[in-house]
Amino acid sequence: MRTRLTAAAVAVAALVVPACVETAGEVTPAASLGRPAEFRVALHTEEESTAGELVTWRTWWELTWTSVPGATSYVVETATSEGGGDRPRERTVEQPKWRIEVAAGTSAPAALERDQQGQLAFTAAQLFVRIATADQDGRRSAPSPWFPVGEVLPEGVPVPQPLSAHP
Amino acid sequence: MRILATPLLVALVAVAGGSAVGADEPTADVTCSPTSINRPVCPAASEPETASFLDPTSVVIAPRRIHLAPQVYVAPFAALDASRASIHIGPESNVQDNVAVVGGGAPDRQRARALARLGLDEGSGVETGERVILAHGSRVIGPARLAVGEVIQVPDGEGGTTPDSGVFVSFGAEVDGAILERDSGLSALARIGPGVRLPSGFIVLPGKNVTTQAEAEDPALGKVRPIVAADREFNAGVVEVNVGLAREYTQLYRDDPTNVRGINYDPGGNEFDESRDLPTVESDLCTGPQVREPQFPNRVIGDACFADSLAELRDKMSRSISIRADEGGPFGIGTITRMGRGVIFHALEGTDLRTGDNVTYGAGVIVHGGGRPQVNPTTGIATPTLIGDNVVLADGSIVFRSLVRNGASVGTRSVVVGSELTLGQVIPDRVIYANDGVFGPVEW
Repeated sequence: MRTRLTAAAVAVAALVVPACVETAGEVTPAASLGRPAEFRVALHTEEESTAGELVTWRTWWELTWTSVPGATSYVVETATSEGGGDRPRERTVEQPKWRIEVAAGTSAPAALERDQQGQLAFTAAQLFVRIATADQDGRRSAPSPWFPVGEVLPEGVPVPQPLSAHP
Repeated sequence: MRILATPLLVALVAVAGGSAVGADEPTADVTCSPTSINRPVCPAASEPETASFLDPTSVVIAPRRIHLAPQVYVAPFAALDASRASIHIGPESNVQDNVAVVGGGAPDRQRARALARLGLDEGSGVETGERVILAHGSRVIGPARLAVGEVIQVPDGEGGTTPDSGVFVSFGAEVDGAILERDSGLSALARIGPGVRLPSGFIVLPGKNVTTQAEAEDPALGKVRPIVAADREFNAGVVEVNVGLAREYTQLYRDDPTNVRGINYDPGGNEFDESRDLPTVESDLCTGPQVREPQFPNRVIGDACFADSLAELRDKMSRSISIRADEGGPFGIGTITRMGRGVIFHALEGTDLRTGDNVTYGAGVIVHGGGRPQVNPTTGIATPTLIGDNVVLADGSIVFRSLVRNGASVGTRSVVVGSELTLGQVIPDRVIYANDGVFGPVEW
């Protein structure tokens, strides 16, 4: 089995933050708590040769950001192309990164990248993630913009989705 | 426009039909038959938190043989046909726009032999377990079983386990005489045929037609792939959204029964869209007059903004069309050349779905919004899904998260996702076009 990194995090640039800032559910954002920034994304693929010249593979998408002073954890929220519902689904992570398996399959080596990219196109059209900072008192920062899960552009910087709170 | 939800107007209507019971017993075993008194809220007297909701445009045939568990959402123009055999829809499931669920197909000896391999009897109908998603334009022909059985624990992708996310049947897909075990699904325009059981942990690839058990179990045959954590996260999110829609449409109906008909309000009431909004006409920039027209034959919900006038829409639109901005929009729809039967528009709040002028929409077209991979250099955010002028979307085609430039066309039952089409580009019939390349054919 071998692991490869198919997109490197290269440029370092703060993301443009939409003027309209959403709140994380019913939690009041803590003004003093920094918002996660300098997001990077990368794909990690594990490949394993199987019988008949085929390759079994699995691909993970990893979102990273810089540590925020005062943060004890980060809230990871997801929404879908069908909507976000009453509140986005959420979980917490302690380190400034979130990783999720986004594609898998069994392919001829020449078709692996096409198969992988095809799956990622569907995932990136359907699932979005955003990050907020949390402190030890349970207060949260305003969340980041939404990013499409599974998408990695050449610069390794995720593209914020044009989602905003309704006026 | 913004209106505030008024207090509940819960009529104390006697619940009739099927095995319906009051909402004070909201267990998975409790079902409701959508007889006339139990539509659009099923059971009629249930609280919004446990009610199932059937859009008034949905078609229900033989309702006493249809059983809906709590918190099921049945979207506009969906059809539940139990004339040949019964239909059971499990809790927290959804039957989205223009979905057809048919209890049983026409008797056929060869088909019966295939069904017998699964132990399915022709007359045993369609049964789904909890958290089953039947997405826009999909079809289930009985006998079929989807996500029936106990919830199982599956990997959560973070080293632990989590309850499975049910079954997902994506846009335009078909289940015909098959069993889909829990934690499985079909991608867009995929199909699974009679006598095949899709095991837990697998999803049929876009456009593939699975007709043998070997194809359903062996990814090396190129028809299925393993389900991944992102699939489960997506499924769980879609379930939650639609559970919320069942509740919010019930509330919208209780506030005023005409609210859930024709051109009307979205339900609001969620983080992305707290207010209730009306469509507008005469400007795809949303500067035209608002319209509320409960008698309009199609469903147009929320912040959809048309360049055409209301009279022009009446003339150009066929029937069974669902333009649904449940979570607000807005999205702008340029002048329509023709919009065929069963067209579906859906976009998440703020994803800025826009279509150009003189666009032809064939029957059953699905247009889904979403920010594209390209960055707008001014705003630093994703550019919107955009369909240009003089575009032709043929019958059954699906477009989401893409740019379709002027004069381009998408063939019959083809999918375009995450792509940029050039001026006048022609996407042939029955292909999956993803990331600017052909991913594969639609095999059926």
